[in-house]
Amino acid sequence: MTTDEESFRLWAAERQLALLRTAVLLTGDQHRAEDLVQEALTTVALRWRRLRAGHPEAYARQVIVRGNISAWRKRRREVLAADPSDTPTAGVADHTPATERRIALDQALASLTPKQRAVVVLRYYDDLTERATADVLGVSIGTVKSQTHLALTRLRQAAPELAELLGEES
Amino acid sequence: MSEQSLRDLLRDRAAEVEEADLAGAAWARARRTRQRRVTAVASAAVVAVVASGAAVVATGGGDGPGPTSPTPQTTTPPVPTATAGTGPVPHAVRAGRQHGAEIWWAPEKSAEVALPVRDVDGVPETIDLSAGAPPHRPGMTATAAFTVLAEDGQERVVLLGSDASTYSLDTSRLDPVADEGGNRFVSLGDQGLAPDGRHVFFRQVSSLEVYDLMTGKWTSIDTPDWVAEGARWQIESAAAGLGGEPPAADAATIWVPEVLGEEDGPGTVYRPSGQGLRTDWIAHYDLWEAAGAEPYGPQALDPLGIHLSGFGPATAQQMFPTVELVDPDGARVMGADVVVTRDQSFSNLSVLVLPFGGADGARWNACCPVVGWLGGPETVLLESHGNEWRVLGWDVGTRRLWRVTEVVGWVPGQDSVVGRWAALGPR
Repeated sequence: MTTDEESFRLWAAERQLALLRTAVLLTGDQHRAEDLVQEALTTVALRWRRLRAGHPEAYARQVIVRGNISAWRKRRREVLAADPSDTPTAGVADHTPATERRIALDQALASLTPKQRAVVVLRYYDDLTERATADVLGVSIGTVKSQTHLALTRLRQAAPELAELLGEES
Repeated sequence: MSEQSLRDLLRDRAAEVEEADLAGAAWARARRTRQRRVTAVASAAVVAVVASGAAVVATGGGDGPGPTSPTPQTTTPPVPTATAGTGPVPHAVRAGRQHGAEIWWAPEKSAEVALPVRDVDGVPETIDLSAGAPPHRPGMTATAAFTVLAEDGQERVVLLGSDASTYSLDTSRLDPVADEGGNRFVSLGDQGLAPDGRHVFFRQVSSLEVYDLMTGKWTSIDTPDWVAEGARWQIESAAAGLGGEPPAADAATIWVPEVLGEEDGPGTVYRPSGQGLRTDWIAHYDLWEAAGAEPYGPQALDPLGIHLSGFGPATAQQMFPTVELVDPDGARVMGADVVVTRDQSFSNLSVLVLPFGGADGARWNACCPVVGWLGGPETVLLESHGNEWRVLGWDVGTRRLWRVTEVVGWVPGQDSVVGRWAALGPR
């Protein structure tokens, strides 16, 4: 029989990359993403006895998403000027089409509010249902629908070069 | 098609993320957090201490005589030997000294029903949290306050009045709230009822809303966003250790942290009227450091000890040790919830282990928040949560366990219940 610590380490080692990928898409920043995942894994570890038989990854994802929104709220109060690292550099030239698409995506995602961004990532990267997305964010399904619509509209406006890929209606 | 394109873009972007080893440090970090959070709240800069009380999440109840109740029973009763003539009486069993503490093993939850009953003034045999209790009328303090959060998001606040009856409280003026992590929580938290039972506070995003049960008036205390989440009641104890007089009747004050998410450090102390009094610093100490024990729920300090002891009040806390314990039969057990008590000398620890028990009659995780001390450092009251929610008493350091009350009117697995108890014993 494995101990709590052993079973946690096994689970965390297996799922940390998936959680980190979600966190990077949510934040656009590798270091902030690592901090969020670290915090989420620690939170799960603290509650491992209760979570191990349930859905620890869902719980960790919730901690990451809500932690990011909470951190954004605090930064918004503390920082008058935007952190340059929050805004990807515009006008980068001499890249492959794939790289340019990636930069355009980063810029477009950066134009979203944390909640809108979370809706996009949870719905279109983590493939969560509207209900599951609502649960992660602690909002209603109606809010998920409206935020999704707003987010996609904003993505198209922020990155016209992606508009064709994103389509007019999503 | 367009949704698929967005998915592809996101997956391409995510595929560039390089793996980082974050798992390795998480467990160690969690262990350090557990140790740090073990609390023995004391005030370093100002003589003010947190007093009594207990909380429940999705389970518990507790007991305690109401604010106007007579002195509770404090004499040492004999060890019961039978319950209503039906076989041996369950009791705690000593399991030796482990990790610097005297260990006692409680019977499994299924045996609680056979424990002898101990009457506590102001606490009925059962406390019914069902909807439909008559509205609270100003002029009556509360022994306990509960919020029942149903699956549909509806909340109801039920007060156990000092007359041992239950009352509903209209909280329609309050907004639903979530913590800084976005997690929904009930506005009446596990710290919301004042030790003197006169006021309750409710946490809002940028304020505390304080209700005076005697006058029926609401007071709003503005706070920075979210920090009200960490607010708690204190009993002013300027007389502690100085041989002075007991505190005045209105000496319950509210400490609000300055920093979001912090459980200790600097904060502001308010009167229930909203008047800011001072900045106060609260420090935390490990209660059972040798076991790396993590605390759950509020800590209960003996209200008499707060005022009369030159050392400090007896302290009780539900905890989760991170080490193995050995039961009375010699079996090694990992993961049992415990109630840790420390006497006024700050040196003697007595621990009651609450085993899970069988599948059907199991205690829940974090089963047993401490309710408070019953009029002194001899008897501690604690909750025992499972599909049945009882309040038990333990004569600390002995085999004597008691059944005090049962909390009904909630649905296990559907309703989340948060409770808070006023200080027990004379005030």
